[in-house]
Amino acid sequence: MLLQVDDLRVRYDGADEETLKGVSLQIKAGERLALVGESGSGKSTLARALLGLCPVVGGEVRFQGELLLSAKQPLRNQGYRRAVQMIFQDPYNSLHPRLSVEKNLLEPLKIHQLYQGEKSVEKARALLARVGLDPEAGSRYPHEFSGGQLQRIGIARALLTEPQILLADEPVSALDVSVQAQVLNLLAELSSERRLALLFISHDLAVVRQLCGRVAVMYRGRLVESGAVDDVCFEPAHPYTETLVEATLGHPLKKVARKESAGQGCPFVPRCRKREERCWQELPPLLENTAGRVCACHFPIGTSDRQNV
Amino acid sequence: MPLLQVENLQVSFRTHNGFLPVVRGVSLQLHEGETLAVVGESGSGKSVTSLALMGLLPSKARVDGSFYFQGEPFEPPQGKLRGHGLSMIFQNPMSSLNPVMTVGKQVAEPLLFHQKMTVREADKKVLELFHEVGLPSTPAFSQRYPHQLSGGMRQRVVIAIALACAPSVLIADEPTTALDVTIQAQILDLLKQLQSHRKMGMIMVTHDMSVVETVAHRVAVMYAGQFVEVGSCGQVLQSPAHPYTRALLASRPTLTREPVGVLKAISGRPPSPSELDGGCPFHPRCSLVEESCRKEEPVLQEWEDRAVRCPIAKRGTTVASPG
Repeated sequence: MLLQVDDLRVRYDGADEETLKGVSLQIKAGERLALVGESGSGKSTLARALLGLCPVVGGEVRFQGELLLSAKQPLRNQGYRRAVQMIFQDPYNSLHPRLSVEKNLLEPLKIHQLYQGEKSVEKARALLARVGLDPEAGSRYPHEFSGGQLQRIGIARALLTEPQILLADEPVSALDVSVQAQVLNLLAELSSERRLALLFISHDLAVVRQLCGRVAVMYRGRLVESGAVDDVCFEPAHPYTETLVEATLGHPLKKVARKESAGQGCPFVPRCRKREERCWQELPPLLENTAGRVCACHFPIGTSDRQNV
Repeated sequence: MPLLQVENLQVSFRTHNGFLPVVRGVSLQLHEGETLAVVGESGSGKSVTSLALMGLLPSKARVDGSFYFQGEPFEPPQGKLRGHGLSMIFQNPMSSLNPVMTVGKQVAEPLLFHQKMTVREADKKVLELFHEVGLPSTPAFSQRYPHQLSGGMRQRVVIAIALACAPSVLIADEPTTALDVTIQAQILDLLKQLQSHRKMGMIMVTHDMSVVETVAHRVAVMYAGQFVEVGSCGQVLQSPAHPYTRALLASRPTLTREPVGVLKAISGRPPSPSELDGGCPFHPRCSLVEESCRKEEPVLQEWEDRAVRCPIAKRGTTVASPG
């Protein structure tokens, strides 16, 4: 297992409750895992926690079997930092505007003391070419590029340290539709040719299905369902996943009378079409059924009452 | 008679290097109870078109064209039409609301300003509007501030403001882009209901084909400041004619059980207004490109049930089915 996350908990200073309420997941080498959920579900927090950028209050992260990060142990391992890189949603704000593209790219090499002088410039140019940019682009500045080109530069920068995992936080959401496909194809190619694992955060199930083999659905700081992407998209077990799929397909939403919950039950209960008395009282555990399908619901959707999705 | 008619709208912005044409000859008609989706990528001129209609462009913009509202010519900026004639919803509900004013006061503002209601009348009307957009219609809710509301609720408040003076035409510029998918579905549902209930004409500006599919009757695809294909929503999405529309539809991942392959990406990127060279603006990215495309800008031709700005697509579909 490349990366193993167990019961990870994050609580920001001054927050009333934990933003991540115990999330566990595994990523194998070269695997592409998607995290989907609405804003506030904790998917970005999870990615940031894996980079040591959030206050972890419980659980642990292991990288290639070695304990890296827990509430007691902040992230210090430079080798891991090199192996895990991130690309961001907004390509404009993730590059330094006053450094040339080449200088932007050389930053991670400097920090990790990887290559020096000519060698590092050569390496940067080769990657620029690999992501589909003219090597001469290195001497230009970020404002001279379009969003799609900037995202390619962001990808090139992330790949310079030869990472094993790429964390991608909504990398195509800010891009134009016609350019989105180019970047998705590029990510798929790079991941295959470098055996690069991908943790791909998105709110769009169609995009997720294009790129990833497995998907984990988050709701209010917890995983509620995970499994193979086609199983989850076409046979959702959790009613929340079903809502996401229906919304993505543009189907009319079923009206559920909203009621406030007392807090100890299932977090989705105020919006759930299948709720029953028990759901208000008892938090459903995350259970694994056969075939690696995981779901946290007292009354998961069975084949019999599945709506046509 | 169409509710709103625009003939040959041209908008250019003054820059250091002269005027840059951003909207280059857009004509449209909107009927009562009809939703027209204007779809395009960033820089295509779709937002500028809607701002021009509302008369909200900055002074460095030069606007030309003829505008008719219910047959009567008008000149934007048209203080008289704003509110009851044309009204607009913007993309980001947080930045279109005043953070230090209660939502009740913000919804009452157009009523006091345009309709000269008394404060008491306006307060009563505000609660009706809250009810109509699915918000709690209580005085306590009126007293809340935007930061106390979720993104979806804020957008409902924005919609209430836009509806306050019962507009005939509602322009919605990417009203759901900043929202989660599930909230997006709720807001689109609400807009659809309001539109058919009030028989408004609606212009929905978006980059998202699935939004078009959900709400629109007709769709206009915009590229480099021009409409390249206009037709009924079903026809354009089912059998797109213009190479850009086709490529756009083919490049988006869909949630179907089809096996996943490499996405058919469109190479290159949309041209900026300064890069237009007199040929078809799409020719550098087009799969059907011919010599004439580089030299001559095609015109929008009426053809069967729609209008298409590509002579080759037209010829292609009469000979063989589009590839």
